[in-house]
Amino acid sequence: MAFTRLPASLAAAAAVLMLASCGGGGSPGDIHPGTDPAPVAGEPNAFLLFPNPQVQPDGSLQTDTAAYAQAYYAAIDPNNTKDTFAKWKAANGFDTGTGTQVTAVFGDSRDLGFGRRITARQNPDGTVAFFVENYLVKTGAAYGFSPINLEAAIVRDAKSFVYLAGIEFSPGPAGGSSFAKFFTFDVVTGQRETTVDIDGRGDKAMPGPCITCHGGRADALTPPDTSGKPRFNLLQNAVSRTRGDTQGRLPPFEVDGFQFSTTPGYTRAEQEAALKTMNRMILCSYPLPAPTTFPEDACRRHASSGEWQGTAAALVKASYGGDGLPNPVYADVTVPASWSAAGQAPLYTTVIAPACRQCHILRGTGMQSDIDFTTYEKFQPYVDRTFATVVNRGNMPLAKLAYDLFHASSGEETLANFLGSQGFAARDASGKPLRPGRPIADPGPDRVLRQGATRLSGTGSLFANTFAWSIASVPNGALPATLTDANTAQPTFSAASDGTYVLSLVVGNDSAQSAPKLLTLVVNNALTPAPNAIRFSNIKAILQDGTKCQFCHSPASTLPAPIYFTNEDRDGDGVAGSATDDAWYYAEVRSRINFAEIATSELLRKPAGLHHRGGRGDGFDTSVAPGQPGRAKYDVFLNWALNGAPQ
Amino acid sequence: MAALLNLATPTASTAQDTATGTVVMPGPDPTGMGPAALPGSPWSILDRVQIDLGYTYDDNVTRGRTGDEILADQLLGLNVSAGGTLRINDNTRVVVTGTLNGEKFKTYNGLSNLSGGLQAELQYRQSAAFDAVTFGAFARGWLDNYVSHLRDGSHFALGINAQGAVTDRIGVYGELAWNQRNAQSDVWDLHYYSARLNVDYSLGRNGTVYLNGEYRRGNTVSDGGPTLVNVRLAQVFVLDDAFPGKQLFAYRFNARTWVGTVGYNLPLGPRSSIDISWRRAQGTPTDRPDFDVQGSLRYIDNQYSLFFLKVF
Repeated sequence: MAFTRLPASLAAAAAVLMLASCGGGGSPGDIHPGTDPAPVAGEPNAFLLFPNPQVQPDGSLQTDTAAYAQAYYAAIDPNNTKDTFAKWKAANGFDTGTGTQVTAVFGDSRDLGFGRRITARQNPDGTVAFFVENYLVKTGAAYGFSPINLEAAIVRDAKSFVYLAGIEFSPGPAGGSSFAKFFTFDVVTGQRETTVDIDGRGDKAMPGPCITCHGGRADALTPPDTSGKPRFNLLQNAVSRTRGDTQGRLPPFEVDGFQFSTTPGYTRAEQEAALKTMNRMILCSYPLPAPTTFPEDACRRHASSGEWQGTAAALVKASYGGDGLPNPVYADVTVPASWSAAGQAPLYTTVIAPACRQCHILRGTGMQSDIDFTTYEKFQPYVDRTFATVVNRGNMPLAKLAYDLFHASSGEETLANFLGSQGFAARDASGKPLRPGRPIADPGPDRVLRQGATRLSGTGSLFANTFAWSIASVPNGALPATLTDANTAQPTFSAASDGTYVLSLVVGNDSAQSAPKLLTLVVNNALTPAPNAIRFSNIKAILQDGTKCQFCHSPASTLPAPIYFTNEDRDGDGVAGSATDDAWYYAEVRSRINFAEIATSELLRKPAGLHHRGGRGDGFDTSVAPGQPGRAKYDVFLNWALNGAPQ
Repeated sequence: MAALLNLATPTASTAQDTATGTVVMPGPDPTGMGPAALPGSPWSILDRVQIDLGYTYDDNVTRGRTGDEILADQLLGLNVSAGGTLRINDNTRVVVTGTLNGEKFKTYNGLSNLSGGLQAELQYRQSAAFDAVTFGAFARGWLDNYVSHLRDGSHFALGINAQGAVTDRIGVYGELAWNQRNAQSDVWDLHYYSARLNVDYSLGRNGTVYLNGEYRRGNTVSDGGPTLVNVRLAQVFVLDDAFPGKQLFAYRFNARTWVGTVGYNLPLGPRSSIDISWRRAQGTPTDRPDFDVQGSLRYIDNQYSLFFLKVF
């Protein structure tokens, strides 16, 4: 008996020892420091990208390419005199003992989540520069601000130092008016970087991650210079007249939105003075609309005719008690009168101020500033885009942290109430505010086309991986129409009879199906020009037809627009309207098409009178059906865009 | 007596597996060959059955560094072990010991646990001379089940040891081991080396005083708040469900850990005793943050135990 029992015990011992060597595999709550949070499948992930990222024919997003960043740096620093952090600091006079230099440390709990150590200086020549050490303790948990990020900024924890940015407000390489320039440097080597990952969502090309929020434009690159490299675009309304002036701005430090430490030396009370000094420096970067005698305005350039003023400077002043900046401590402005008068104070305080204002206040042109949302009257006409970007697409708020905070705040409810009052179905069947991530069908805009085969596109649909197209109705007496590849994103529609056809698209993903979205196709075999024959020359002819567009979009305008539609010597070779000029012109116009969401393209919305100082152009009446004379020019533009905008 | 003593060495608060190290596992019989095998058989089964029952006060069950991270608790421990021997020849034998151990914590019940395992040890002794040293190679394995399931898992250890009598009053035991622990949470997936030295000093009928010192190098676990220092020390961390409402994170880090025990074992009769001990452990991270840290990075833990031991 014993002889059999003890070997059994040994066997049991061996079994236990083997079991004991087995691993547990980790628990869901385990957090491995140093890892980035993984994006959740199905969630929006277009943060820090421009709504129009300049989709190229190969599908790449030009604003997120190395070529874009290289062109940017080549424009603002052609001789690479600032290609390292040390050189950049020296060029901006840091630590020289001259001018004014201050440092502040705070937690950026509302924007990017970093603990931030910002050193700012203003040189005797009036130029301003900031370098920002950003600290993020990567815990692998949900992306967000943590007080330990601030702790890391205080102790300058090298392992948490993830991102080093330099921003300067100075003249361009050829001198002239100062404008904001954005750099990023490797935190270890100090080498200038063409990409940066500031939200754990992967590298993005400069200057996009900066200027998406700092007011800059992201127009397409223009034809190459003699070295063969594409040039950064030139915004025609930039006072600096310098490529690389994206019209980006220096945002005010909204101190009430920061987190501060209780560590002696780093409390809010101890940081206020430095932050006020920084806000004074920022104030200096905004043009002055009219002469004043207040000392804080002495550094400000007088605005040129038609130059964008914005309200950031006013915000800075108001936050410190108005002219003269009498208050030593920042206090957020009260609700602007127009918002209160409209009964929308809660919308301002829970949505606009925390989630929109920081970036939108820096946007606009002298001709068209309603996108800055500084009044309710400016904001309300954007209700359709607010619904599309916040509730459907999820690319607003633009930064991941701001997005998360918004959807976790009461602002989401407030916005849903507002959108509901404006006729938008912003809640689900249970009454909860809708959130991005559900499939939404987008069969493309209603259009006019000729008989024969036309490729349709549902690629603008959101959060979808299945597509189901169908023909909902055909004209009476029409020959049969066909739809091939109806379960793909890009089916082919063929009609042999003129008339109005209605198609339906339903999209889905692993968890849901969208509501059907109808597409109206007006078939007119007499349509001229044929949609697939439209070229840039057709577009240019419309843009230069009469003086309507060129009244503002030309050098002669007293309210300069970012793009000229007149034939200009764009490449500066002394010949206006050369082939290179035309290629440049084409690139500029094409860059106003948003291939990610064609119907929202500036090239379509502006002449249709949406958020356009010049109102609606003849032939751009989108209130009438496709193919109607009232929108003939719009149809040409639309079909050109839908066909890829060939040159 | 020494075997009894080894069993008696209090090992409370094994929950963190940092200070006191291993769950109770019977040590070798320093007398060398142990009891004779059954007549006509090389096997000797259940030649040693022991029950320990005791109380421990632990002043730092979290192995915390700073005041707000340190939590104390009390626990009751019960350990049952039984062993058998396979004599291979006059100099060599295999000792197999099974153990069942339970701990019940008063306040932080998540640390309460039940564990069971086996040890197999090959022992060699050159001769039966009084001063002959017994060498051993062992493998230990056991399974843990905690109220805090993050800690559930297993332990495994491989090692060598040597033991012998220096005088008729002094016995010495030394051990080198490689240890591995696997758990539901990666935090308690631990690897470490340990070196242990135990000295027994017999007072005759008045009992035995013992000193035990252990040095560990490798992974250990502490609990702490979500501070930069802790994150920088941590290889992995998890919100610890053993301390509800405390917002304490258990984190694994590399450390040098010293454990020292002073104990006294008082015989109550031929097969029972009372054991009183004080164990002190301190763990110091081997990887320091790159920045200046206010205060010490070291944790210190004290355990005071009173156990009753009974051998059958």
